Amino acid sequence: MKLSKFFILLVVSTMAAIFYVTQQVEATKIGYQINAQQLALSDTLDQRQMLLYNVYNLKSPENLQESFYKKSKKPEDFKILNKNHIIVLANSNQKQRPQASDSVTSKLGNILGINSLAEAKTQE
Amino acid sequence: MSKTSRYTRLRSIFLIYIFIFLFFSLRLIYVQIIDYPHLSGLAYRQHNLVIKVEPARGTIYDRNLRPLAFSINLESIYANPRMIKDPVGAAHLLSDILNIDDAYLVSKFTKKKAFVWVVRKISPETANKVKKLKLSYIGFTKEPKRFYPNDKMACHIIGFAGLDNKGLEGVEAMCDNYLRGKPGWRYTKQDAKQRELPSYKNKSVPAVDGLNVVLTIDSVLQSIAEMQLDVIMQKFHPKAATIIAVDPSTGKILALANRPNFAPNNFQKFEALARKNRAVTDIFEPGSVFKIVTASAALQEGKVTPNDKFFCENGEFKPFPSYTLHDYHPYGWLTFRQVVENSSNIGTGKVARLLGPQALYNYIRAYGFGQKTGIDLAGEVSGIIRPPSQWSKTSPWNIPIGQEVAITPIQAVTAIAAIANNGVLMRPYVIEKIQDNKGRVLKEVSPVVVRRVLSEKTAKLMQNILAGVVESGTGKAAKIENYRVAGKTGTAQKVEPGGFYSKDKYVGSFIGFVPAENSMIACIVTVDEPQPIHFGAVVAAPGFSKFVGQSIDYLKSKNVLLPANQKGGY
Repeated sequence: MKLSKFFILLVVSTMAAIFYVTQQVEATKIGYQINAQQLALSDTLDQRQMLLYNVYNLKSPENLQESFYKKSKKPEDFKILNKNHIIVLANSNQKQRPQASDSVTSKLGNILGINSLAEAKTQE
Repeated sequence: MSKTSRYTRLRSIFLIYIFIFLFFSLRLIYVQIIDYPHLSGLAYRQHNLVIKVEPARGTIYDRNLRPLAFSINLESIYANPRMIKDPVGAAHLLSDILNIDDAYLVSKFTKKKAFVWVVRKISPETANKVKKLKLSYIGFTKEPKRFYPNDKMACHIIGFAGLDNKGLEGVEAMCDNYLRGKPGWRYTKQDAKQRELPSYKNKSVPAVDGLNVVLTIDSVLQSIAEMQLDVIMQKFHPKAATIIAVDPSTGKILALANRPNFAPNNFQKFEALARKNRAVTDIFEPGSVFKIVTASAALQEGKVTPNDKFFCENGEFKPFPSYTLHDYHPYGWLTFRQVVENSSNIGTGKVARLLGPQALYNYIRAYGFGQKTGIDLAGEVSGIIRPPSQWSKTSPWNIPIGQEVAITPIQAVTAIAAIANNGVLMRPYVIEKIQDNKGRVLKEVSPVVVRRVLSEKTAKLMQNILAGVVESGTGKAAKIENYRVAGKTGTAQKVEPGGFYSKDKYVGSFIGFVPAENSMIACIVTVDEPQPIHFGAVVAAPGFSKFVGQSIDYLKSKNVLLPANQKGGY
């Protein structure tokens, strides 16, 4: 083997080794980053759980009742609303509109805008 | 320098190199071949790591999916005592932050171990304070801790889980298999600082989180029950009290509360007696509430009609010379309906004579007394009901009025619910369904019909008679505005350890359902040893009225506010 060929082989193998090692180092670095991110994510999720606990705790009937008793002068007057005290208001935006069927003609109508015209007439 | 001396020096250097080369070669051979198994084992243990992945314990919800128990991950602190050079100093450093005794920490830090727990499941603030110290011998790990956002509410149903997240009581224990989940693991590598290298993660089996349990109880109804129990405890200072509310048509428990109670978040601080679920574990002599069994049995067997008349002996009756039966108020002639309304012991005794011991016993059993109801709560007892062959001479007079028998509050409410449900006895239950985190239902409990106890006609007749108890009888304090209430009061003397009846210890109770027809709620209120008044009509009936009245208002208003597709069920 000529000396030049030996050197070329040496350089190539050295480069390949350096490439392999760099890759491994990068993989390890990324691994650490992933770890840190996972930790941050789990910390955030845990914090979320803790905040949720506080919300549930504050919203719990026991807590509401306690706050009510503290603030109210006559807690015995407390009464749960019955059916007659509640007025359900209809939302004008949620007015029932005729449902277009899923048939092929209906879909075609939708594309051509025929169905929407029909709806406009109904509303008149 | 002479040629010889130069040659000698070169040879010496060569020999040194040869010697060094040989030394390293031999060392290499030793390391790579001779000591290979030992060293490779050490390296394997140092680099490779199998991490157990803990599953998240499932959540317990009420029937409206309000959480009653769920888990939060908290930091736990451990130490490596082998790395601690000054245990006293280390203990002093941590004792103030962790609020732990110095001596306790020193005892931990002087152990000849590589791992000791310092403190487990601490608040994030405390953990951060310790982290800021950057102590090399201290490590942190996260562990899930169970939290109960409603504090003491429904504590006897929910129960609690221990430090290792194993359910110990209540639904936490009953459904532990569902809630616990399955731990997973991952096989990975770590660096010299024991940091995990995820890029080298090989194999892993993910943890399977625990399933969620949905209960039949309603937080709002439960809260109202707890509130009424507090009022009863304040007014009458009883030893214990219980409220149970059931949906008669299904057997679903809507609320179940006992006093004394405990806080599941700090269950260690409470006595075992406070943790007792008296609704299913305690037996009591029911007294007059048991007359519903005698009365309905006599009606069902056709032995009486509501207008049949009985002479109530003006308050004192001697069925045989050594035994006297008393009424609280003296009555003359009463119709059967009035016997029930006024809770006449003498009248009920005479009705039971017409029925006969065996028939009465059969109905007592048919209502489920003397056997477990099968409720899905731990510790239920059967009560004490003796067969007629073991009855004494006084038993045919005592048992019909609720003496010489011992029942649990859950049995009593199940029985009254059977009358409310037109004669059909349902199995009570608190676990409605098991579902995963995505809301997919994996198991749903359906109402179970135990048996028909009364015909529909008899049940409706009983509903009407029991409504009369509240309208014009002993249970007037249980009236609710706008609703027809049916129910029965009970005041029973407690039996002392010597076997005789106490003169100052009573159990006051009220059982009933509302509305009297097509009822929505059946309920029992029992008050154990109330002072200074002990009558069920005074200590239990008003609590029943307030609890059921508010509950019905809530259920009805909830039905108005619910979207159309969720309406219908209470």
